[in-house]
Amino acid sequence: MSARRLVALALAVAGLLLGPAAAGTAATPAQRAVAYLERAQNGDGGYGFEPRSQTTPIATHWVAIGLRAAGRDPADVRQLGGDTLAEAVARTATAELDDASTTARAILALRATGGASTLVPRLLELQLPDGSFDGRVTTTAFGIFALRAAGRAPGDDAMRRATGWLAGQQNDDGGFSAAGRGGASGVDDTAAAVQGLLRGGRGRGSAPVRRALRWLVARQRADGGFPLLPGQASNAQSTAWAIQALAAAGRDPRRLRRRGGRDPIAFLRTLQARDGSFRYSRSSVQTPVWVTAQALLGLARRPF
Amino acid sequence: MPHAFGRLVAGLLLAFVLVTAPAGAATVTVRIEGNTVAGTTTVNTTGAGVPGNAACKPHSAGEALELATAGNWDRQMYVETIHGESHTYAESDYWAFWVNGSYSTVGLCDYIVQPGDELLFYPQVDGPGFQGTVWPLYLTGVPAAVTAGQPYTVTVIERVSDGASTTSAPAVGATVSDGSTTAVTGPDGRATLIAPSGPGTIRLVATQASRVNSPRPQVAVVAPAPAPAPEGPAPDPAPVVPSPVESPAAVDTTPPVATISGLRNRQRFSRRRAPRELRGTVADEGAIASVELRLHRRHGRRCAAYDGATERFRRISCRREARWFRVGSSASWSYLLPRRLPSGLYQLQVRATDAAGNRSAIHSLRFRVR
Repeated sequence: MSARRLVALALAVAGLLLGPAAAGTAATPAQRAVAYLERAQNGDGGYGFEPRSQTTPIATHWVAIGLRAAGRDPADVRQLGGDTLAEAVARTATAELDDASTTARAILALRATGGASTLVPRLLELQLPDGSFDGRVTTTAFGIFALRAAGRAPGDDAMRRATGWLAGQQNDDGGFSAAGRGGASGVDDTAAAVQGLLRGGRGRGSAPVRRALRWLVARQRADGGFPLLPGQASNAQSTAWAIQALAAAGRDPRRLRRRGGRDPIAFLRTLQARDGSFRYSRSSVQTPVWVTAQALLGLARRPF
Repeated sequence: MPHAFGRLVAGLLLAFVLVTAPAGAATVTVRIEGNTVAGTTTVNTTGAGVPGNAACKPHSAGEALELATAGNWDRQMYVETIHGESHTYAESDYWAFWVNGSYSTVGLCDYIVQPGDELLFYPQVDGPGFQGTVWPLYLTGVPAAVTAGQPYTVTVIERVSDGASTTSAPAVGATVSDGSTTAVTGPDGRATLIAPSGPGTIRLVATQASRVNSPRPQVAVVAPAPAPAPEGPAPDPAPVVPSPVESPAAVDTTPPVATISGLRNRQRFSRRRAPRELRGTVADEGAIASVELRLHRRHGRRCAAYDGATERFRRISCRREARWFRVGSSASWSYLLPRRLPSGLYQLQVRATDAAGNRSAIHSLRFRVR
């Protein structure tokens, strides 16, 4: 046996012996995403849509929600000598509370930090007489998520009115549009509505939930992902929304494979870049911090 | 020359009058975009000036800052601290003061505010030659209202100052968000978003690394106009008024130039370092309508083509071409493959089409993964 072959054999044996150990220490996609987000944090504890961009409440709140879903406590996330993410959430939670979407998301972010929210009265002020928040499906679903996170029961009057409005917005095709009946059904809105209906007390077997799920499942693309609107390319955020809705309804997203293709979680993983961030889509790297935070919710199969 | 001198004197006099003339109460917006504090406040100056700083004139920007922060700043002519955030030039950083999108050449204690002014304070960091490195973004062309479910376009500019004058440039690669969806600006600074499907309001903001976030204008989302009634006589057509200055539109006949970056023709890769992200650029005088790729693989006697829909290689005859798949319309295109490419000899091709329908030549290169 030549010296070269001996070396090759030795390396192969070493690889076999060390392989399992090495595999055991390899970071999971979620761990890599968490590490990316930790690196992307600003000194003030908050986040912009991109690393090292100016802190915005939206990005900061989404990261807090995403990291909590991945099991990371925002109170422990800080750059050396900087503020913690929890402190940034507390500081930004009261900014721009003139719309229900921001207020509801702030409540969820505060809950993710383990803090108590004093914003529920403000959110209730923003509830419209018809029970909706802003007259938009996704915002109303966020309102329901926030109220539940703040301890409101499904039988609570504000919850009942919001859930009732949401159920009334279902399109004939089973999907939901951002403003309700008549608009083109979209994946994000339908997935948000499914979770909103469930968090609002509707059963998994209820007709609106079943019809919405049927519409949603049929939107899976050949690549395994979900698009914002039918006919568009798959993207990470819509795919994460769909995974959350399926998980909320008790379905295993890993079993959803169109014609034997990838499941949505596998699709999501293929959008992860070397630095741990998630791309919005194959051809777009927009808002990587926000996308990565939302992808964590999908990877964790954690509904709102 | 005497004429120019006269203009200079007149300009100086005008500036002197603007700065020193007594003014009445004014409603202005004070925007603070610090690293730890950010917010926009509308205040009414009363002429009270700044407590403890007699040099700060009544109705000055200093008084407006005093009102916006409830006195939580250091009240110096050269601001170092706002809401506890200090920029003392220790790392070439300082609080920059801008008025209506332009760097203010007048100090904040001397600048007398005008009704409707936007005063901006943000941390600037000087680079070589005492030139600033951080510039504010602004949204232009923002409609007061957009139609639900319909696309609309806004433009993002960055305002750059050399200390004397301030100029605009398109902000390329800035992110515009309405809180739910985002779009990234192209080479012309324009970004197209889709309005939410239902009525309500949205708030736009443009952001970019090492830039100051734009103001956050609110936009109404209105329901689409109802379709015209199908019955009844058609109304008289409106008279067609010819445009008085209708210049012949310039026809763009120049095709774009599409290129692949990061790969060399005949380059060889190990399996571990096989390409995963394909990228390149497209140059064109106008907007780009689409960028398309095709990827052909040969492994032994077998050939396969990458399918953009299933994101898998499909076997094809080695005499056939792969099918094109679209990778967007960005001048700086990229495509992240689901995984690193397996062994084989590859041919990657790119082509682009501009908004006028001109199609580029195909840029093609080959590489091998061992």
